This record gives sequence, C-alpha cells and structure tokens, in this order.
Amino acid sequence: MRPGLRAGRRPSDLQHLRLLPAVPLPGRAGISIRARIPAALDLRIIWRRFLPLLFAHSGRRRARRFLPGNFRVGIHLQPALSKRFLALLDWSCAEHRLPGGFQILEFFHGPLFRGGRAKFLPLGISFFTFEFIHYAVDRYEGKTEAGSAAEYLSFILYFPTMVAGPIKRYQDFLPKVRNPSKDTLENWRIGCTRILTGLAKKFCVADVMTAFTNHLNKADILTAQRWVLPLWLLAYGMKIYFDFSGYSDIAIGSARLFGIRVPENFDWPYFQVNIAEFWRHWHISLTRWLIDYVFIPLGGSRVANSRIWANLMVTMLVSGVWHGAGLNFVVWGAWHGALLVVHRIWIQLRGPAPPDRGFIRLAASWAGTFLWVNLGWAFFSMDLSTALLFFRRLVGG
Amino acid sequence: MMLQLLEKIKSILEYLGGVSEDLPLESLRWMRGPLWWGTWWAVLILSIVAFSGQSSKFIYIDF
Amino acid sequence: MTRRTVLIASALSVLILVAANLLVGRAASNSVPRQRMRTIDSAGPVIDVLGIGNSLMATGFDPDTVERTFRASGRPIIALNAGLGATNPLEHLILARHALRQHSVKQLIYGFFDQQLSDDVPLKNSDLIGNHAMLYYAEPQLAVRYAQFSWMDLVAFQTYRCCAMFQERGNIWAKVEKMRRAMASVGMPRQATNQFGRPEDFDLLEFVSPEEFSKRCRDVMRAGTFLSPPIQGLFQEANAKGVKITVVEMPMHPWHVKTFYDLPAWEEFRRLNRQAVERSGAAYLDASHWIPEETKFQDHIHLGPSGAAQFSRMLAERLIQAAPSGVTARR
Repeated sequence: MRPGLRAGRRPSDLQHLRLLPAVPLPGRAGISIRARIPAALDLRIIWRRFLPLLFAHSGRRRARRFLPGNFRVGIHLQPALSKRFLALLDWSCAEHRLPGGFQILEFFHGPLFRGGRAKFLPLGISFFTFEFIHYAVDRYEGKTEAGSAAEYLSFILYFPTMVAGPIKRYQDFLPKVRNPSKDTLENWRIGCTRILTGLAKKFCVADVMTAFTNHLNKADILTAQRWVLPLWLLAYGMKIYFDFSGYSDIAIGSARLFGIRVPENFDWPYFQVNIAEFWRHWHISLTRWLIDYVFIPLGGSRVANSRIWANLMVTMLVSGVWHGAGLNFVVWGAWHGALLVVHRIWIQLRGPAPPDRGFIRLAASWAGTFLWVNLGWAFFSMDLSTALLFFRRLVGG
Repeated sequence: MMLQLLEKIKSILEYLGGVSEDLPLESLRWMRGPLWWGTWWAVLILSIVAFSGQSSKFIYIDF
Repeated sequence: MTRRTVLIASALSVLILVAANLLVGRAASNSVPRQRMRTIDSAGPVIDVLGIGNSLMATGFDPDTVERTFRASGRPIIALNAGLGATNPLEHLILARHALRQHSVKQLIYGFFDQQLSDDVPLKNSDLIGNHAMLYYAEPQLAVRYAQFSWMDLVAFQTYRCCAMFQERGNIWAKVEKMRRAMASVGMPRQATNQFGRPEDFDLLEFVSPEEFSKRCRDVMRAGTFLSPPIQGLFQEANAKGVKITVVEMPMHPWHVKTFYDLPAWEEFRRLNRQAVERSGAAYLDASHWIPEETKFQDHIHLGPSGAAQFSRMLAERLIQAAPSGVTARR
C-alpha cells in the first residue's frame, strides 16, 4: 500500500455538509425525485491533508509530504442512512478508487428503500467522480501539478463537461485554462456549429429513433413480427450513439465558446473494424480513463496472457457497472470483455491484420464488429430478463 | 476507391459538424464562406425546431 | 473567420429563418382553427342552431341531420357546427364570440362531458400547441385574462405571438409525430386510429378510477365553482345577445356511463351542475345515456358517424319539442 493513502483515511463523522441544489436526474437514478429540494453533497475533505495541497503553489513544504487528493465524496440520502454506513461508503470510495459507492447504493437501493423514499444524486456524479480520482492519482504519482484552488475548481466544476463528460485530464486542461484561445470569432463559429450539430443529432435522429426503441419491452417484443426485432436493436445502437455523441458535441462546443478545447469523445466508432478499435473510438475519454486507472494498475498487457484476459474482463465489468447499477449492465460489460478477450486471442493466433487487406476482408471485419456491438446493446437497453426474451424471440421465434 | 470515397465523406461531415477546422477538399472552398455557414446554421436551427416536439403532448393529432 | 464574415453569416441565417417563418405563416393559414373560423364567417347572416364545444361536439353534432329533422317538421333552419377538437372552454368562448359578432345566432348548443364545465383553464405557454395555438391570434387578450399565465408564461406568450413558427410549432411537431407513429407501427399489429388520433389515447382523457372521478366531483361541489370563468363569460355573451343556450351532457360510451355516471357523487354533482347552468339562464339537457350501443362510438368518448346522426336527430327533436313555435321561425 502506498504511503500516505491509509494516513489520509479517517473514520467519518458528517462534517462539512454542503448543500447544493438538486438537479432532477430521472434517467440514471431511475426513480422520481422531488424537485427543488436541496440535496446534501457531503464533501469530506481531510483538511489537514487536502487544504495544504490546494495551497501547494504557495510553497508550503509540509504540503508536499501529504497525500494528494484524498478526496472523498459521500452522499446524504435523506435521513435513512446511518453515519456508519456512510463511513463504509466513504472508505470504499477512498480506498478502492471506485466511483462505485453510488453504484453500490443504487444496486441495493431497492431493498433498502422500498417504499419510494426519494433519492438525490448530484447530476453528473459518475463523471466528475472519475475526474476526482484521476486528479488524486495523478497528483500522487507526480504526473500533474497542483494548480491553484481556482484552477482546480474550474476543472472540477467546468459546466460544459460536468453533466456527462468528456472526462477531462487536469494536465491537458490546465494549460488551456491558463491560456485559452484568443481567436474568439473562430471559436464561436466552431462552438456554435458544434452545439447546433449536437442538438440536431439529438432531436433529429436520436429522439426519432425512440419510435423504434420504445418497443424494447416484454409486451411489444412478444407482439411484434420477428423481422422487426433487429431493426429495433439497430435503432437503439443509432439512438445511443447520436444521443451521446450529440451531447458530447454540445459540451465540446460550449467549451469552445470559451476558447477551451476539451477532448473528443467519439470518432466514428461504428466504422471500426475490430472491437479494440471500437473502444478506442467510442466514449474515448472513458476508455482512456479505464485504461489508465483500472487496466494498467491491474497489470495491463505486461503480464501473462491469462492475467491480461482477466484484466480486460475486470476493466469492462467496471465499465458496465459504471454505466448502470443493474445486472444487465454487468452482463453488457462482460459481453464486451469477452469480445476484447476473443479479439486479443485472435490477434495472438493470427497476427495483426495486414494494412493492405482487401475490401472484402475489411468489410467482413467491419460487419462482424458492428454486429457484435449492436447485439450487446440488448443488455444495455433492457433488463436482463427482457433482453433474454428478446434473443429467444429473435433466434427461436 | 470506395474507402477513399468514404474517407472524403467522413471529412466533409466532420467539417460540417465543426469537428474539423480544415476544409477536406479544395474544390469545396465555397464552404469556407459566410453564405455557406449562414445557410447551414439556419438549416440546423430549423431542423432542431421541427424535431424538438415532445410526443407525450400529442393525444389529438388532427391539426 | 473575420468579423465581417461572421456578420454576413449571421445575417443570412436570420434572413432564412425569417423566410421560413413567413412560409410557416402562409402554410398555417389553413390550420384547423382558422378553417373553423372561416366556416363561421361563410355562414349566412342568421344561424339558427350553433354547436360549440370540443371534439365531442365536433364529431357528435351533425348539422345536416339537425337541419333535415327540422325541415321534416316544417321548420327549415340553418345549423352550424363550430365544435373544435383538442380545445378548452376558453377557445369555445372565442369561437362563440366570433360567431356572435358576425351573425344573428338564435340557439347555441354547448356540449360537454364529465366536469368540463367546472374545469379551470390554467395554461402554460408550452400548452399552446395544436388547436390551442388559436389563442395567439384569435383575441389574445382573452387568453391573458382567463389563462392564469405565470409572468414567465405571459412573456413567452407575448413573444410567441410575434412569430408564426412559434405559434404553429405544434403543427410542425404533429407532422413529425405522425412520422414517428408510422415508424412505431412497423412490424406491430395495426393500431386503430380515428380522425383525431389513436382511440386508446383518449382513455387518457378519462379519469384513472371511479374514486378519482368521485373525488373531483366532491372537490367541485365543495368549492361551489361549477362554471369556470370562460364558461360564465360564454353564457354572459350569449345572454347579452339574446341567444338561447342549451347545455348538453353529451352521449358517452356505455363503459364510461357504467363506470362513472352511476356513481352517487356524479348524481349529486349533476344535480348541482344543472342548477348552476339554469341559474345562468341556460337550459340543461342530459343526453349522456341516449346512445347505449357501443358500436356507435369510435372510442370511449367520441361518437361515430351513425351515433352522431342518431344523437343529432334526437337533439333536434328535443329542440323542436322545447320550442313549438320554432327554435326560431326563419324569416
């Protein structure tokens, strides 16, 4: 265990409650939320550890010894949770570097809170938690400077990317904040175009696809003609791409209005010819995060084959759980983990694809990748039993 | 040739969407001008307005 | 990009949007509310029987059958149906005023169902799509008076009035919604539709349960507000012009009658409702049980063509009986 990590941990009592206005979050939480009631975001800051780091630029020597960014986020869930439970949650977030405290809560929310107590989650928490973790780890490893408090806060609270990414890197962001682009007119041209494109993707394509994807439920799957089921799944694949990439366009365009370039998040993922390339082009900032903070710490590719495969699987399972707290998301993560493992084995057995392979081979690779990715969306879009029903109906009639 | 065509289409779409700032083909330099951008923005805005209705509002649809 | 090119691009965008706005305004000149108002405009100087209400009247009141029945009794009349689907009493008031301003109306038939006479019309600007959009251009001052807009909605309302594209956004969205519904129907069993949309959607206009229905009745009885302000306004306008008003409880689907209209709360509500209507100088006619055959309805609340013909004939007969000298004697 690295020095300093354990030193940063404290048994919690609820200090430093900060009240932030709640933002309705129906999608991820999956439960109706009373609007306008403030949520309590409990920022557990280890003052003696953290504050000096915020002011590290002032050159306090003591600060440098301390653990950077042992920064815990807890959530106050109505009066229902005990302090002890929150302490456990707090510990797990800090020690295991998982944003999964919230995912864990969501998993167990049903049994814990049957009866419909409202739950409040800050909007975008999955995303900015990852940015917290990135900052903490990279600061500890000396990969990034501290920056001032204002620079740190502008990184964390940067509104264009706060809700749903792209997940930024502090070392990329800092120079841009210090020196934003001064070509205002060009920034506004690009920014406005990007925002309008994102909105158009969302409204004109993604929302129209809901005409098909709304049918992805048990009743309609049983009633529909079989041939339309693949169309619905394909529509879901289109919908999620245009929705999320449209959102990313809006975020990137909004940032560009201020002269700040944030990383791209999608790069024609459905045009890729293998699953590894797909993940390098789909939700790019998340893939990078998972590689840097899950896959590589687990050993990455520098271990035995069986370990590599396990690492891939674990990484994709983390991705699955991050996307949603349900068994279907776990299965979706495992699906992609398995695809990556199979791809790895294929490459090892057959060698990498030659650059001059023919069009037919390329098309076949593309078709295979496209097919397997879209089949996986069944687990993403429906709960497990519905997804299994979907496949039973699709295959067996 | 098919791949080259796809690449060209991709570049043009990226330019239209504001992802890329470089014009993919010199023959399309009219896309740099204000007439093009003004038209393109208007098309995007009109599309957004046309498609931004919520289907939950529609019980009657005879209008 | 230089400042000059940005200005030119922006100006061109605005120009195109203005042109699109004009086109939308042009296309909207044939919207359903405008058609209805033109129908009223093109009627003769005297309208003997004018039907006003929402889609129940639009589908249920057959002016040809009413005229035929009167003619058969030796009293030719002119009947007109100004009922308009997806509207509320505020729009009915505006249509009635439109007719009363231009014509000599002898009898006004106002059709309603459930607690519609009592339903208040607090509106948001976002509600003003479809036929409600007529509030933007047809006597908008009435919308300001009756719609109970919040200040933000009021600002939005006044802003939207200046732009045809905003006013008629519902019409544009309806076309996209139709496209979505066509897509959704691919590979699925065919869903029934009628002139207004999907019949199953009109279940949404009914109460979820008899308990909820009774509660609504009791709430109105407790508050004593049987006639909403637009309804009162409509009655006042008609009374001031000497128009005879008959408020008709429209024929309802047997399921609806059995589920809701047999409830004790409804009986009591109906009694008090009738008294409130009669106090306002109008006659009350309970036609809710006139059409017991399910097949004569196209969904839970709207009459089909044969049901409309039967209802209209029975209504005309009642009107003839009620006024032996004629609803009016045509000169």
